[in-house]
Amino acid sequence: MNPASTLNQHAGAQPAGARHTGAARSPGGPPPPAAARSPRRWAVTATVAVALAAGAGLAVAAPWLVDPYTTSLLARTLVFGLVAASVAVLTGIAGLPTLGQTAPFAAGAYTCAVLSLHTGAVGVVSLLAGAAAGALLAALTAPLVVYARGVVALMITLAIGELAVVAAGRWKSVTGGTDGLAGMPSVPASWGLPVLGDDRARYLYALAAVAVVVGAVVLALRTPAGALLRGCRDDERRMRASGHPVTGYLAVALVAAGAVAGVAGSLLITVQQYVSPADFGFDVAALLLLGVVIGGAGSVGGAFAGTALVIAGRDWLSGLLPGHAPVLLGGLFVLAAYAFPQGVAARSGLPGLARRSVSGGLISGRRAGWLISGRRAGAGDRGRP
Amino acid sequence: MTTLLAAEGLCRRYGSLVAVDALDLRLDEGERHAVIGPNGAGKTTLLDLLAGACRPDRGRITFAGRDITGLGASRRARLGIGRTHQRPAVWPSLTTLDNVMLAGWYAHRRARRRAVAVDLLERVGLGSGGLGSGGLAAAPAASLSHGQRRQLEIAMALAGAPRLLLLDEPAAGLSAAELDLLRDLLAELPRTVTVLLVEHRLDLVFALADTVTVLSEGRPVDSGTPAEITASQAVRRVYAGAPPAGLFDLEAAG
Repeated sequence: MNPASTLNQHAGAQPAGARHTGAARSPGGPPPPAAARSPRRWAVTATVAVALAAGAGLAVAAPWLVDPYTTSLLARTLVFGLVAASVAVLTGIAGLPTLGQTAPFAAGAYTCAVLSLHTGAVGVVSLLAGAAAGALLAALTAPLVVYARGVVALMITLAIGELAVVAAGRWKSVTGGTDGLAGMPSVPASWGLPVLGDDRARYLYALAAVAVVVGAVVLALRTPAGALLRGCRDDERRMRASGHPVTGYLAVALVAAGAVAGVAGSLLITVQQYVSPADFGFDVAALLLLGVVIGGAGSVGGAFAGTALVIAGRDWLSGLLPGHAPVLLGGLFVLAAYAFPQGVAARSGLPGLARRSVSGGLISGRRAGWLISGRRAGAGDRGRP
Repeated sequence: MTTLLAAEGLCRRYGSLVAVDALDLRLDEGERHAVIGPNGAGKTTLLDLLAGACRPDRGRITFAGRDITGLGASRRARLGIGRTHQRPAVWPSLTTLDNVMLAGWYAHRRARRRAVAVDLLERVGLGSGGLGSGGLAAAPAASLSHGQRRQLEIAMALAGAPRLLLLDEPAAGLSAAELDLLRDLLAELPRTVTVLLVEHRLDLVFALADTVTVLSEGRPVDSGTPAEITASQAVRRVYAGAPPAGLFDLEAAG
């Protein structure tokens, strides 16, 4: 039998997760022989392919099915989903829980807002500028973050996020203070393309950009780089004992996640054409973490879906029960933690989403342990140098 | 014989507890050196100090002629110090094969990593032809038994192509068959690998070790060949009341 390995097999034709589910669900025993698994795997493959195709079709068709206001809300939801994907990379894959991804998100957004107001830069330029700004901010804050673990990391990243909001509110000459910046012109996605003039066009632009970036993240995590990050999460001691510079890897992951959040910042400017510190407050950071937890922190796709659900739920509930949305979301959080200890994606049996959740859910008993105690699963008591 | 590793005056305390106290240790190239001693003697702390998992309060460690006292664990690992842990440390969410391949990341070129890993898994009994049933290589390490994780971590330590292998109770919790496999594996290691073995199973210690050091309260009580150690009065005093099985009836058994 040919041992499966994520280290050699990058993006194979096989759907994410179909390979692991058989073994992962029978801990303690060897996996069933390959022959016995194959028919089920093919069934799962087909189901997932159909579901993904249907989801993609629905996502593309959405702006023709709903009114422009809902379309703009959906576009915003995509943007927050992308930030959530960056949170999932850090929290679920690298094992570095974070409340601070709003900071590179804000850096990307304000950079692109200023750029757009002064130069009217086209979409791709704005995306690259946002990525650079997010990565730069992450690189500057990395020394504060990569030595911390667990709750300490949460506190430090929370402080970074809050500082970013305060900076955005005070630095009036650049950010417009608490009033924010408005009046960004509609720009084309690239030179020679029509201007993104309505909500439908902006939504489709955001959808394409988010699909490309999330796809790139998922593919990157299937390379050895992804295995290295999971190794950091699983057992940091063992990583060091095998010569891996863990804090260096985490710094790289932080910068990459910062770039992704920066891209989301650029998209926020495009779809919203307005930015203020309120877009990056603590409630946003908490919603992102909630979405990631609900979706299964170990799965980028699950985190994206979870956050999209939470943001959509918040927008819907705030219309239905004005003022009570935070309470309901709090209840949802508790419910999610109890009912889906490894994320909804894991429970639903969708292997494409569940694959990384099998051992990567944030609130599984063990994970809750390290999130709360600052220890990492299986890492003993010396998680840091 | 040239000295591979020398530790001089190593001290390490945890609060008021002195775990390792002014300890000197010298390992020759290719030597099989065992460290035994009662629980709490400082054996694991000694390994942590040598591997760089913790820093000594005092003392100096040289490895292959180079002062490594200030280097962190990952630097030392890349220099050729491999280790296993008392409680096996593996990456549960990665497959068994990926565990070994990632552990050999810095020691082997990309093209060779897989072949090296498959071979090592075979040698520790986790390959398709060994004790483990087929397919263990593709299973997540989370599905392995305690003994299998121990075997896996030994394969991971070896994947790093170490010049010095630090083993922390590799036999603990192994089945009889796994123990035989471990003994054969260690006996067949080339002499280019120096081994420091911390172990309670004295049959394994006496089968493999050239030199045995007995540690008590952070200090070496005695050091010598296995025959010298079994005859040592000082060692008897250390173990007074609770001699580990096999220490004093070894001579009687021949």
